[in-house]
Amino acid sequence: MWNNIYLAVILIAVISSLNAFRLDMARPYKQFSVFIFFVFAVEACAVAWPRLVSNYHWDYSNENHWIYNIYLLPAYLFYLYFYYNLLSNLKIKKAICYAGVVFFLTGLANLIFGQGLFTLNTYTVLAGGLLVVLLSISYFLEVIHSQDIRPLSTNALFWISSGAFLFHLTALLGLFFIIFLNHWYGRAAHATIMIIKITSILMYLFYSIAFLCQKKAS
Amino acid sequence: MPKESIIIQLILFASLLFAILAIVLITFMMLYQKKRIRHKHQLQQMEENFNREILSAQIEIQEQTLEHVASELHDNFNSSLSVVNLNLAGVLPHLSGDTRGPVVEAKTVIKQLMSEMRSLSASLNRDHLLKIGLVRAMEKHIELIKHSGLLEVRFSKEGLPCNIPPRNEIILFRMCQEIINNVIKHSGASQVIISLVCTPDSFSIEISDDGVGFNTDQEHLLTEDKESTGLRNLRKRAKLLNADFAINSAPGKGTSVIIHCQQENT
Repeated sequence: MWNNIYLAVILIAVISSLNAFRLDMARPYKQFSVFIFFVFAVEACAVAWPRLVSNYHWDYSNENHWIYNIYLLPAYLFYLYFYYNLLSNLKIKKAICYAGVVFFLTGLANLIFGQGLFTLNTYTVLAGGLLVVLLSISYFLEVIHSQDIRPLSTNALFWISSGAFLFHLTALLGLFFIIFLNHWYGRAAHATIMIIKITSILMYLFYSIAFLCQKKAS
Repeated sequence: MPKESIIIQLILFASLLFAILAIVLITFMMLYQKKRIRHKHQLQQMEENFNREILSAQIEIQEQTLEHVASELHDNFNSSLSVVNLNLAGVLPHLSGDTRGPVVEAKTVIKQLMSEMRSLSASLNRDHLLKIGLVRAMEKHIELIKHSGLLEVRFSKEGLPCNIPPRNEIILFRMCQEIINNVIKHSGASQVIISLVCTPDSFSIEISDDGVGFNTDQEHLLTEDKESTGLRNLRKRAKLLNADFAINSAPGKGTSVIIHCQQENT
């Protein structure tokens, strides 16, 4: 049931994000809309994979970690690219470039030589999540110091940053320790997954608000 | 397993803690920004009030200066002209033949000058304008222009009487004077149409001419520093009345200036 609710919320975010095209919002928001659709496709595949394996008796593991591992690097790199386009502080933009290169290389090394394709790449999750948290904080600081004072309730980037910040701050430790918990403490792992699911539902609701609160092209 | 229960509790506690931290930060951001917006509005309001005060003071000083000029025209110039007229009247019976004609002509010119001086003095005098009201003042001003022969002026009014507060009538009259002066100085027009329309909710004054006109797009591109003082003053005065002020013009197609104001704003 939770999987269905989770997918439904992402679908709502996908539909809401179409406002980016309807209202001709700035290009990064249109790209974000495509990104959410990409996330929906990945999550749908991740949910469908174990069922496909058991229904069709495929000779594969029903673990879907490999789907997430392929998705993780491009997803976090997209967040970096998104903030690179929308933040105005040049030092932070430069830092995003360096962090992006380091993150990509280490993430790729972890995927190939480290944790591999079939174990969830928790180091990549931890590094990517921390980067998103830092970028959200950078945005919040930029808002606080900005001379251009505008209401946040209709600011798409504020809602996106808030959603990303809430999810990554709350679920990051859980995501990092999930393999360990899954191996040794099944119930604890289940509780952690529930927390991750709930916070990600909240994140996608925030993303939906980001696009629904727009009245005209920003 | 008790150890697992502790881990679950620990995970729940940590997650809750981080979630609360994130929500507090997001809420703080929203409240802080709301406070900043409120503060910004207050500053804008204060600046607007300050500008209004300054403009009111400027208008008051201008009116006092005009009143002084009006009284000088009326009391000194007119009196001097009366003296000259009386002197001429005194010498007239002693003149005969060729010398009498130019003196009679001079007396006529002086009388005409005195009459025009009185009209000019009246149009500059605030108390007089307050007494006769906007419409009558406009009519008198138009008469003055017609006498000068500079322009053909047509004045139409609809839906009178207008319920405009007296102080605003003065400002409107000064605005109309400035616009008509601009037409005479810059437009090269031969005809001006002035229409005053009053409704229970609003009133509007439109002054159109058939002059050379100008490109309003270029006029909008001018910064406040470069914009002519006259035009800037007109905009400021309109703001003081909470009135909409619009200029429609195109090269070779004349100019139309519209002042529109809601009655409750006046």
